Amino acid sequence: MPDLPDPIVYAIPGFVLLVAAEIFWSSRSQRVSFEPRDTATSLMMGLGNTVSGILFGFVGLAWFAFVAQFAVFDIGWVWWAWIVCFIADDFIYYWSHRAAHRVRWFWAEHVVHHSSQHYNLSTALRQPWTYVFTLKFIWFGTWLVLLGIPIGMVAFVSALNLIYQFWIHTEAIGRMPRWFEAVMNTPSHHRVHHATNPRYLDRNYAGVFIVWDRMFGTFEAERDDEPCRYGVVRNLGTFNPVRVAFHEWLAMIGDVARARSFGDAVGFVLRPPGWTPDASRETTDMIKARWSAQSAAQSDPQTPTGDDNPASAPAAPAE
Amino acid sequence: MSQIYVLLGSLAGIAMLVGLSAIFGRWSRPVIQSPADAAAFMKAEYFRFEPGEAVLAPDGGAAIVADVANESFGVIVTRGDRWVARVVTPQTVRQVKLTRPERLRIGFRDFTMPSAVIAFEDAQTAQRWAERLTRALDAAQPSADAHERLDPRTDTAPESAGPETAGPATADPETTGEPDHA
Repeated sequence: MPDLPDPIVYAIPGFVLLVAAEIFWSSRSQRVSFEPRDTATSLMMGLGNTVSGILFGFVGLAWFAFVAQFAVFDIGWVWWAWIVCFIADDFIYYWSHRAAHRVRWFWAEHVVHHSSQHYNLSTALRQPWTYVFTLKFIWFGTWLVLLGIPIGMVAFVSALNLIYQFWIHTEAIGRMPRWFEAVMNTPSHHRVHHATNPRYLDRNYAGVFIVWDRMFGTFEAERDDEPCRYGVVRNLGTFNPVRVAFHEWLAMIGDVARARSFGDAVGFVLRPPGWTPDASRETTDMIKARWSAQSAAQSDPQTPTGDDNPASAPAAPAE
Repeated sequence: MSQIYVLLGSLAGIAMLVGLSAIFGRWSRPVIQSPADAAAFMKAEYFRFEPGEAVLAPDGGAAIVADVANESFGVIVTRGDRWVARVVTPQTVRQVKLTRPERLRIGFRDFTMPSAVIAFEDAQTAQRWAERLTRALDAAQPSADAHERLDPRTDTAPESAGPETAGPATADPETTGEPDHA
């Protein structure tokens, strides 16, 4: 087994230099801005994510070592396995990321990455601290190891996947060449993913290859007539990294504690963010449906909007 | 030991980038220019919100907007160089309180935004808006603790009078215990 380095460790100096370059560039452009406390929060979340990985990474490694005993094939370190592993890892990333937006248990962790109202390279480093607690590595990380791909190879290509995603967190780049936009995830596609405009909600989950979104019906192109508004549906009123890291977990625990039945409690954990038994908050599906109805009504005034009883509904949840 | 050096180096790198952001980041304090701006922002943030009357801080750093469809209110405050909005409902608000005669504090049940403070120019205006918010909360959910949402000190303040167009208010940088930038 080759002794592979952690690519992210080697990429960190590059991340720092590129963030600094984008800050300098922002002072000369009208397209990007950095707010110091927002930048500080994003970078502290990134540092905390690294510390969390050092402290709890052994849990995932132990699980993968356990699963590897039951691998179906012994693929080993053959050259083509790298290609298979990279593509398959990105495919799994798509579904993992989609689940992170559609299941509150996973969203409680992933919301951290979306919690900035800015979209710049520092946002790429705004990462959660609680990855291991979601047990995502079990639900989504198991499959390649179970297939027989070496753990080191899986870890290496996963790191490459994350490194690729760094550069797409920017408004400094408009659009890439058409062929590239068709196949690869790009700043334009990922801006849509980070936007809270109803049209853009829950779209473009891809990591490296945007083709997964095109295949599974979650692709949305960025429109020049609808600039992205970044953040979460209910933006955070704090820059405190601890509050950023744990706010959705606490909200979810509170909802479960107040649940009136076991089914409701399970719903608060496993249903989409914003779900409540009485629909008193809004999920992204509800927001999109309301937006679609309103858009249709504006284009055809005789179409009912489906927005008959707004008075009975309080505001949306934290996210 | 090497991990300690990595940690220290990371903190130094973070400090450098935050410093660069402060100097070169092209950021500025956001200003709500008009009631129409505040209304549009609330509508964009809360799809169900039907904006009505609004009061702005004179420096444009905060606003309260009436929600005519839901007989409620929305509050907008600045966070960094962006705005953050919340609606005032019995589910979201813990307390409406005048911490000083001219200063209105809205306590939220929100881990990321425990409170918002708006300093009006005069006590009468602050009192009027405190009463309006409390009335809306009580009407939405009458309860034993509803009357406690309004600070007892407001009981001695003069009754609101005059037109419902509120006087100017001042955004308070201590809004949530996180000082705003200068």
